[in-house]
Amino acid sequence: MPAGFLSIGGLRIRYRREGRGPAVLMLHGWGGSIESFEPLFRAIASQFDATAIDFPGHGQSSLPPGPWRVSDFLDCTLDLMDRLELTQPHIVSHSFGGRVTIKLAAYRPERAGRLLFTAAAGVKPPASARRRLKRLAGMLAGKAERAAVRLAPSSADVFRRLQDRIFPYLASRDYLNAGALRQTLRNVIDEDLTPLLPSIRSRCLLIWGDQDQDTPLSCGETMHRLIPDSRLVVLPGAGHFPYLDQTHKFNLMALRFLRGEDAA
Amino acid sequence: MPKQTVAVLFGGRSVEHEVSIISAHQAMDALEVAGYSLLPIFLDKHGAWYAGKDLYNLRQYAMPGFRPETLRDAHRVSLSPDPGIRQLVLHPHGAKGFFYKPPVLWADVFFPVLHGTFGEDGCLQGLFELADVPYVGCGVFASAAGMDKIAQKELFRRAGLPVLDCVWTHRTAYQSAEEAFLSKVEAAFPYPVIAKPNSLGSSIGIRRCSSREELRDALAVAFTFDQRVLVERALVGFKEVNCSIIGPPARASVCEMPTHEGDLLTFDAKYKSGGKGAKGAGKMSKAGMASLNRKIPAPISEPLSERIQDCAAAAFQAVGGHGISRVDFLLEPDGDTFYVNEINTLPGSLSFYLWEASGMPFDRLVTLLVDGAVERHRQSRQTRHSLDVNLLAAARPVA
Repeated sequence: MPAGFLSIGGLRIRYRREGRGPAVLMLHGWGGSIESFEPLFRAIASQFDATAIDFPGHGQSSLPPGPWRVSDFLDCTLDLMDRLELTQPHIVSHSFGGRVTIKLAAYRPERAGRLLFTAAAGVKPPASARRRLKRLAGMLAGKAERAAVRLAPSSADVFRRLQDRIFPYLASRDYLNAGALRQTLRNVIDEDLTPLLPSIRSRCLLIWGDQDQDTPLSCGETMHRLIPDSRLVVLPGAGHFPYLDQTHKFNLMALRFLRGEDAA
Repeated sequence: MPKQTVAVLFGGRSVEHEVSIISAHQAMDALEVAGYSLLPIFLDKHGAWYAGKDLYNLRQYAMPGFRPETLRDAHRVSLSPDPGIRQLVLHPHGAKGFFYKPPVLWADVFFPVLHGTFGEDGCLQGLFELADVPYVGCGVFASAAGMDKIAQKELFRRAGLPVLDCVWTHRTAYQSAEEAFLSKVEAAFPYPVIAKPNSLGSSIGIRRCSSREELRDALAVAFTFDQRVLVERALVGFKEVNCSIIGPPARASVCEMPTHEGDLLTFDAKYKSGGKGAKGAGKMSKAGMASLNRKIPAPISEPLSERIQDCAAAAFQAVGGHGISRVDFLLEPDGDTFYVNEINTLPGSLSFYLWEASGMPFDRLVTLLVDGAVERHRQSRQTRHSLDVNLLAAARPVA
């Protein structure tokens, strides 16, 4: 079954499966899809039984029925793994896929093989000055609005229009693009998975770009510090998509790790 | 075990300068993944050497007006032929400012990833021999033979391998007796024929001719690239099949069949094909030789593939190959007759895509090559090159 859809809990979930060898599951980032992994998927499928999926609300999979949390995505992934008979696959995860993987490795260690995290989310990044400024601006605007509306209720409409203009500058790109998933994204981002890291028993390779703006290198360093059997590799010049920025090197490294030739 | 440092040399005074930069970056990726520490050494188009970590960054080479001397960790150096020095020698004018602290740069193994002149032809290998350092790939003789199409034909023929006959001439000889040579070619082969410069790779300067006039033009072009030019019968409707060899002992990869328009794999098709449709001509194709359209494994029968692999191994041994090579074959339309076309002793992208398809990942391949270099160096140390006896001291004074 090279590609198609599976029905998991009433949702249509798309997957793609190619190659022969030990199983590898690939979990994409927020706003991504099976296609995000294209060059890496082909490299892995040349040596492994590679499976990539579209998370609910992403790619061609259907939307989750309501606001989901990371654990809902995990349950869905586990169901899918059962259906595809992936007992203990190695997992390659990017960004949001990393959140699901952290939870899976912490709560269901018997289902996790070797774990490759790249630019993974889950550790709350320290707020940058820019982000703090935005948060402050948002808070002040809210206060001003409430005060003004109390004094002159007719100004509410003006504020709403103003908000529509200003909001795009304050919110993250992911949030703006999230559409029906906005509340889900909020739930996901609010959850700090740092406390789960020390309980991960799998061997982990962490690959980070030093130019990553979304999940900065410090997140990778925290993961490396807290996951007992982990190795961190920093790719100079790469951003939030190291497997696209430095494809050749990334693929070589990923395959070596998945083959088990990598000493952590 | 402490990490071995591998010096990767690339660029160079060759028409394949840019290709070498791509091949070398692919090799450096693999070496780093395999756990080696790197000392990149960039040879510019004039032959100046720069060494330092900052030279490992493919993107900068695509920038117009790139100057390696402006990088922070890149130092103008040279390799001394004196085996006692054991560090790269800094250029007398290479200092960067008053507070410049000259670094000590050295490597355990030298890994040339240079294509064509001065890198693949034995020149650099000679310098490594003088400096007595372990280096990856073919030695002086095999490298020189690999760049000399006329000489390698002789070696292959003596090893019993099928080769296409050729007629060749030297530039001065040709200039003094142009018509005589053209007649000699015509007596030897019917048209179409192919004229090739003796020593270049990458199909540069190679032309197919179907008349005396075209041959005359083709020779004029070929002679601008080399002093010796050979002419051979042009095959019609042939296919190319390539096979990579590592060793010794010689071991063959799966075969590939490059697919392309026209009869000759041109330089453009070989190296620029990745740039098409990308952001203009300035964009450098990261894939290099690996991006070329090809069929792996080659769509040929199993017995033919085995015969070609055996011949590739024999060709590698005929030139005394070491490390890695790629042997290129021409396959007649009958799908059974083939000829050894040439051996590349430093093939583009180090033929890693062929080894990946043969079940050997690139990081394992480079480890094998580095280990092979160290082993050969150890073996050569067991050969005596000088005698401890001072013959002069024992001799009677002459006067």
